[in-house]
Amino acid sequence: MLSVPSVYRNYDVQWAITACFYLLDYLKKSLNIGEGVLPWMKQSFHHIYIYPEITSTSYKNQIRNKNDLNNNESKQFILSWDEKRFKKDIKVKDIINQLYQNFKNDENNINTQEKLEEFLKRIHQCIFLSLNNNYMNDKSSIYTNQNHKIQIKKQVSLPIMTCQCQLDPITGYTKLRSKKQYFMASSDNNHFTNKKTNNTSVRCLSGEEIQLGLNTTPHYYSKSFIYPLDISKIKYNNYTKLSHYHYGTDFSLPLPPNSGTIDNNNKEIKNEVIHIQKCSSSNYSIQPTNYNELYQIYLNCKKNQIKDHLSDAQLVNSYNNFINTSIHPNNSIKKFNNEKGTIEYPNFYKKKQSHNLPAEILKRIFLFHSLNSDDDFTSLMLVCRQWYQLETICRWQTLNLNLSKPWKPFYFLLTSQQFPISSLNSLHPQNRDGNLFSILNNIYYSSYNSTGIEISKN
Amino acid sequence: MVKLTSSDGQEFTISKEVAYQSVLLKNMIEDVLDSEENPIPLPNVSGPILVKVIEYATHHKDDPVKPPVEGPRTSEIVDEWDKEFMNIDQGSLYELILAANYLDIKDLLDLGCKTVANMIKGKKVEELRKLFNIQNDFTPEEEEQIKKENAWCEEH
Repeated sequence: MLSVPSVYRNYDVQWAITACFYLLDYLKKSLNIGEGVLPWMKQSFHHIYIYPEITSTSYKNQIRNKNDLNNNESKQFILSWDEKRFKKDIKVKDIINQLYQNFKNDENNINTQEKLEEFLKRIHQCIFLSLNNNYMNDKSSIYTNQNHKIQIKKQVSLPIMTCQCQLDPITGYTKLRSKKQYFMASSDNNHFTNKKTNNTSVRCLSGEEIQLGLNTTPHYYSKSFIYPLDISKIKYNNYTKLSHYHYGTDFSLPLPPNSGTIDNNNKEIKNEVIHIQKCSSSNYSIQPTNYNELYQIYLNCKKNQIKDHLSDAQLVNSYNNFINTSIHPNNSIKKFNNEKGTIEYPNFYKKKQSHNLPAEILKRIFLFHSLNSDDDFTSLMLVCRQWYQLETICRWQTLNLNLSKPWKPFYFLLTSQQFPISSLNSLHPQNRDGNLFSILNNIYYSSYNSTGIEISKN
Repeated sequence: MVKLTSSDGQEFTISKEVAYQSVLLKNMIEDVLDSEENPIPLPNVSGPILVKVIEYATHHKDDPVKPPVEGPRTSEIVDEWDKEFMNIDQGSLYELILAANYLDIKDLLDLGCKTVANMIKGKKVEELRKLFNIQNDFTPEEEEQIKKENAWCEEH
């Protein structure tokens, strides 16, 4: 569980902070200090920002409350200023950059609890400085007087928002979701606080749980998304789980469309898949079968219980490439049922051309676009499915551009896509019809367990 | 000299120095073809676009070799000549980007991508769809979901 005050509503800011949290969590656990940084987070990120001019009766009341709570050693804070006035489009890269600038020349080894605590304080300070500077630099803000600097006061805490760190099956990256948005898997909730182990425990998409020890160091620093893990330094659980739990049934990774194995209990999907196969084999040029080959390797590894470097995340990424380059049959109509009846989307399967700009070029454009720090990605995400996927990838790729050596654990968490996830169940919202991922996946995904035996999907 | 043939059959003769701006042409010239005798066919590049490509390559042929950079550093187009060069219609711009990608002229590709990146800057969703001739393939529920991703958290 993560608890973050409402001021960090911006998705990117949330992510940046969460990324930092997990870095800190990793560091703290690697030093075998308590349960990691999560309890610290809960304490440290409940703050009050008070503007002097709005400190009237309410402020006095708060001061009174503060005095009442003086004995409270939790040092929690409250946010009492108007959140609407806070500039919410802070870019995660700005925060990361700022953090990086602060720590890039730091040669200190964090090898004691005291040094770690100092490190945590500095990061904490940096994040808030970044947020405050962002606010003060907002020229459109009605607050222009320097006296209106944000002040941090000790106070009672705000209601805690509970959020989940989840893996996006489309991009393979971790996203934060509010609890309300997604089902929670209560059985896995303890994963975040993982009281049973002193080491950081992260879980792959495949369900593999990896214990990150003190010596765990990433060995790959390129910008690409797939990073084989250094197996020699990572201890896998013996009970590596091979299939995932999905809507109450096991599901495995997306089945290659030309694998010829289709869920017989779902004729509609079967027909669609067959139709796509026909189109792929006759009217359209077939894309390289990297994904198919990868899938077969993956299956073979699983069948033979070979713990290969190939992870599910890699396979999903490969699948994403496959999706991006596959051409769907034109004139296919996808029907969605909602409360008002059936909606038809005649161009649902039609490949978005973007004037025939290939995905790689669009990604490059988005990367350049991301360098315009004052612009937002949201509008790009809403253009179409392809842009949503590419933009999501670019957003994360951009983050890595300015990070380097001193942030090895951070890099590791970022690039190996090994952020803890509570459960793959929580990847999917309650409204399945409205779920982008399930709609996309329904076409290609079939349910298979690790041995390749079909499992019907209800 | 190197002869090039565009997709519409136009033939162009350029110096090797200019041709070497393209990694594709450089490899072809060095490894495969006697390009002085046999024109290199470029089936993915039309005549007018090839003219633009040659214009760019000629202008930049004396540029110093830039050190390799891992990723894009800025979206700003600094060179005034480049700005003016990219002052073309949208269709030609996309074709030019595709040609740069095909011919593997990184600087021209980056220039084109920067131009498009600057074009989409500040645009709203509908404007972007119109600009790129893209139809919305999200369901209303999906759109709502993506918006929620940015609204992100709800208080309990």
